[in-house]
Amino acid sequence: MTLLQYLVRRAGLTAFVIFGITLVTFVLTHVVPADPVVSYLGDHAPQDLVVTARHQLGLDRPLPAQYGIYLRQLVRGNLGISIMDNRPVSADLRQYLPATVELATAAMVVAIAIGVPAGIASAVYKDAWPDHVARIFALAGTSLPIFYLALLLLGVLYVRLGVLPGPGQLGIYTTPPQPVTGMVVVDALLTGDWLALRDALQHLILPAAVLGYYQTGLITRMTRGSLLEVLRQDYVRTARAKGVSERGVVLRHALRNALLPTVTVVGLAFGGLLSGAVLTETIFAWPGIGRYATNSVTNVDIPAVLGVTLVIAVIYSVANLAVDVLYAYLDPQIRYT
Amino acid sequence: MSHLPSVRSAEALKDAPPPGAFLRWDRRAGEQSSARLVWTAFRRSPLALAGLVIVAAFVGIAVLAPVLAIQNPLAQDLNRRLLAPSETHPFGLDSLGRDVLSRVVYGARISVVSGVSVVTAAIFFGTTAGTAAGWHGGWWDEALMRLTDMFLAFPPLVLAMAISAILRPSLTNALIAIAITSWPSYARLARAQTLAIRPRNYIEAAKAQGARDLAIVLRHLIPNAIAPLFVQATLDIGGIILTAAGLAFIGFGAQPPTPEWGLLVSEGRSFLMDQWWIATFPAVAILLLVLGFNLLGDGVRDVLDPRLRKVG
Amino acid sequence: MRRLVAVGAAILLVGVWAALPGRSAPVYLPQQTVVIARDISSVVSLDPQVSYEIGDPDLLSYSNLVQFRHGDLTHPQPSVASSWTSSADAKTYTFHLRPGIKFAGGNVLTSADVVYTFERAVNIPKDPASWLITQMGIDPKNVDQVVKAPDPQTVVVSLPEPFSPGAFLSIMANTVAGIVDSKTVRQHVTNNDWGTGWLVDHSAGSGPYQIARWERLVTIELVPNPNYNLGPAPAIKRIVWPNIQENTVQRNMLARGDADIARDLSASQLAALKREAGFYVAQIPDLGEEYLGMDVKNVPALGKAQVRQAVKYALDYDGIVRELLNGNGLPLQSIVPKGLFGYDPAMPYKHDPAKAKALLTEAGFGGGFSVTMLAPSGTAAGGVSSGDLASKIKNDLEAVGIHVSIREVAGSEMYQTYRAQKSEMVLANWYVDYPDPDDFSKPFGDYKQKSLCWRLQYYNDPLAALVDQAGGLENTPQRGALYKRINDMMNQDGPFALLYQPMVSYAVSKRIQHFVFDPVNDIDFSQMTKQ
Repeated sequence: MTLLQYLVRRAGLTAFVIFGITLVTFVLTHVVPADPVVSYLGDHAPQDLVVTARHQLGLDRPLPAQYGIYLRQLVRGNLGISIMDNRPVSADLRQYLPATVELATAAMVVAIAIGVPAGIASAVYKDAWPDHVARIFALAGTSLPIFYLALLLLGVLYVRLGVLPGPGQLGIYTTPPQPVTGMVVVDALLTGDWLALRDALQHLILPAAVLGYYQTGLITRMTRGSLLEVLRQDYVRTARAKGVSERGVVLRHALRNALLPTVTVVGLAFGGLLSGAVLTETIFAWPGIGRYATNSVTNVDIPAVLGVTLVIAVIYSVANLAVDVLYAYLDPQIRYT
Repeated sequence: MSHLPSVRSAEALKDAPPPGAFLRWDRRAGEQSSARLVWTAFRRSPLALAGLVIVAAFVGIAVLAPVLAIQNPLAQDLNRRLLAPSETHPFGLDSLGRDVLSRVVYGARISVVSGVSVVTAAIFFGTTAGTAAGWHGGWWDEALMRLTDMFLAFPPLVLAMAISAILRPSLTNALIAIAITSWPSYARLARAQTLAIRPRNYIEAAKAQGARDLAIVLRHLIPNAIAPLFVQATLDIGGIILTAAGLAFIGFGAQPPTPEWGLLVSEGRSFLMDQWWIATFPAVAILLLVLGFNLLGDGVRDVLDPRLRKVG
Repeated sequence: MRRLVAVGAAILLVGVWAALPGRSAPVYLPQQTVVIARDISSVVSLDPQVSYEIGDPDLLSYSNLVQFRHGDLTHPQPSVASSWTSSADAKTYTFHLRPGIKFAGGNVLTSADVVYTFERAVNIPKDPASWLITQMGIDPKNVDQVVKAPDPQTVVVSLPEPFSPGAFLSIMANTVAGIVDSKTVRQHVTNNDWGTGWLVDHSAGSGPYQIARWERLVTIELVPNPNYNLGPAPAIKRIVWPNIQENTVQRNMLARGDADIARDLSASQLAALKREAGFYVAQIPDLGEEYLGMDVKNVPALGKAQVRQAVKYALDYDGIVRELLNGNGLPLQSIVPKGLFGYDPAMPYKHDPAKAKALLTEAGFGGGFSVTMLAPSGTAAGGVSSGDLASKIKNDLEAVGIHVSIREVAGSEMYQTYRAQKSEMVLANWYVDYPDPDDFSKPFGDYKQKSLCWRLQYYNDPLAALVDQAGGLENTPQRGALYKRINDMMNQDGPFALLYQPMVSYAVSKRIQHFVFDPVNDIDFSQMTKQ
């Protein structure tokens, strides 16, 4: 099979999987014993109004008919209209996704910046104290309830010490940069708005640290495991035998190969980051897709829930595909199966 | 690029705990040494031992909860609400005057039992599906892989939220939801194991002797898969306890007044600035138990992976 | 490797630079800006005829025919209408408009704008706020006949049937009757949407402020209306509501000075804040109540009046108000809350477990019974966690032998079950829509309204008749006597155990002066200043 054939096959499978996901999500959101109309209209609205609104939204039609309509719209690239805010779901997603992408990317940088060195130290000094310290530190991040850590760090670094700014993407008195991508840091950079850039970066530190620390354990574990394996291999022994210093062996010879599996994990961990974002964004008042998702689920905003699920599934599948292709490219021994 | 670690395909990497070493691990190879070997390795790795001790301690606390608790974890006393930690109440009292220590101690029961039962369910269904797919191959296999693809691509928290909303929010239903989201990784692991072992000589021999499929699976495949499944399970339990806590935090998990740790942290969070003890003690309990399971899982993996064992 | 070091150094440098304190140039100074930390997740639109979840931004960007001022909720004051008359049969109202009022866009407000506002309110599909107008018998078909503009300064409303005059004027002061600039809105109509798409995040009113920015789930920002001529220009030039969902974070922002006012603090956070210098807590009784609803059909035991009375005797009202609410609520056993005409200060029920047990035995349920209590996740009225309140009630009811299992669910699910008449026991609250006793007695007492008591399957015809009769009267002693009777009947027999009347509480920085508010208009920014 050539790479092209492989890609086509994988794309087809992804489409199939995504179709399945819309079906499951559609059924799930409709059997939830909660009503989007009640949620939208509020407790006080009279019963007649609820009935009319259900009819106007087509929620009183049979399920297969509703799903048919949804699919037909979806094929045309239309994700439907949110019940809560009466806006196209695609517009909502375009509004909320950039903030999450920005946060997740920054969190990934944090996770790698801590996780990879910790993993290296841990492998090189296996079973000695640096190994223990590095692993406990990295695993603690993965073991703490993220919402507790977020509130704790806000309480200490923001309130008590005052070294970092509070919730949100920008301070109240900072004028937002001209929107280009929707990612505040990137936009500030592109438009050369240095004041906004500094403020945005400061606001990014705390949520990115919390979310990134949560992923550190995974990165450390992966780096450690693969480095240990590589260090055992023949070419490393040869290098050692040739008199290359241990530092040289690790950094020049082993690390490059050991980092490959870590790259894979980074790709896959993006999915985990999106889940973590649900809890982090609520606490840090971060205007991202995680908060939108929670809000949509609690209000049973069916088109919105479907839209969010779809986007996350697509991101996950594409990341998966990218990782596989990258791997195949880097290691010709891997067959496309 | 010839010195890549021995990963057969990127797919396998997702299934197996990194770096996919178990595919090679064969029970027959290490049979005679196992018990002593495990113990020796454990002794060499203080962290794994620490993990074991922590987990054992929490299991002990869970079992002895009625003895260790100062009072009924549900008993309210509004006159003494929000009292700070003292000699009589080392962890203080919460917003309804309930003893935080007693609630944390009973919470250990809930967390240990939920972690273990979810993992058991996920292993059971995952292994059954995975082994069947690997054994039969063809259409079965294809269908299962696509199903796992689907479940893996689902945002887990969204799926768990939806499922627990349908089944009505409660601890049990949250656990069912988590089990539904966590079985695919076991299915893939079991499938990979089956595919790796199926062509082996002794399996062929058993087949030639006329053994039934089910017998071969039970006698040869499952025992071989147990170690990697066990490692994966130990590593997963921590995540499961955290997910249950996260669900409780957004109102889709355990219901009040259940002393579930996630719910305790969630209930105590608005008191964090003034009465820190209400949320902090259960949070520390979560941290310790999950860390314990993670360390134990890492340790067990180091011990069972023959390639990592010889390093150092 | 060198590259790695370089990248690391670059990241470090950027980090250090970012951590340096910087100052930007805001359009409005901090002394002119007020930041209100509040959970605005439920706000879906700022269109005055649609918005239902939050009042302030609309009340500040639009003007109404009449308004309530300085906390007086029984006497509407002139606003856009300088005077008005009503007919003796409580059906026809004539409003005389003040000339020369300008909208933010520069157009002059005339009677045509008032007529258009009414048309919008009844015509917008699936509109959460529309029922306030439609309940008076106004609908898309008759609105042309009901609301007329004989000349640019006069509006005549002729209702098809009598409607309580107090309630009518109260609704005219509500956000749903905020007058929109018909010329501007008509320019932004797409697909016959009455401009709802545009008014979601724009304003077209004649209030002191206008909407500068609204992003759902993110922020609401108001800036002054340059053409405001209904009163003096306010000193505060910018009002921001960032969406802060966690009350701990709201408190953090207040402590750091990033917020000036916090809206959703818990009862115990407020109690703690009262001890800190630099802040004060402004509290007044809210026009609302937290209640425990009992379905009289789904649970056979609750079908008996004695059992419902037993529940009312089993509850530890003092413990809830004093301890759980830390004083952020008042005892209340009157359907009409304190602050409205028709409030009854009597407290017939005290915590009396012995009496409750006796009543249960008398009803044949001495051995107790089981019931499921639905509670919405999050916070109950008065800033106490819904879970805590539910646990406390469970504790009190179990003490007399009623076994309660709590189900804490999202509001969308709870109200779905409740509205479908499928609940057993619900922990819920009801807040004022318009300040008239009718707004409470109808949902609680008149099952024909298909509201609260209907949801609990409590059909009491004599009670419904009394509610209807009281609704059509002006605030006379006769009306007062009727509400007294309604209240007694509800207490004796009704399916609601009233728990308390919450306080509206704002935690306010001492930098803010002249902080005035009431439960209907919320914060009054006209006098406010900031240091």
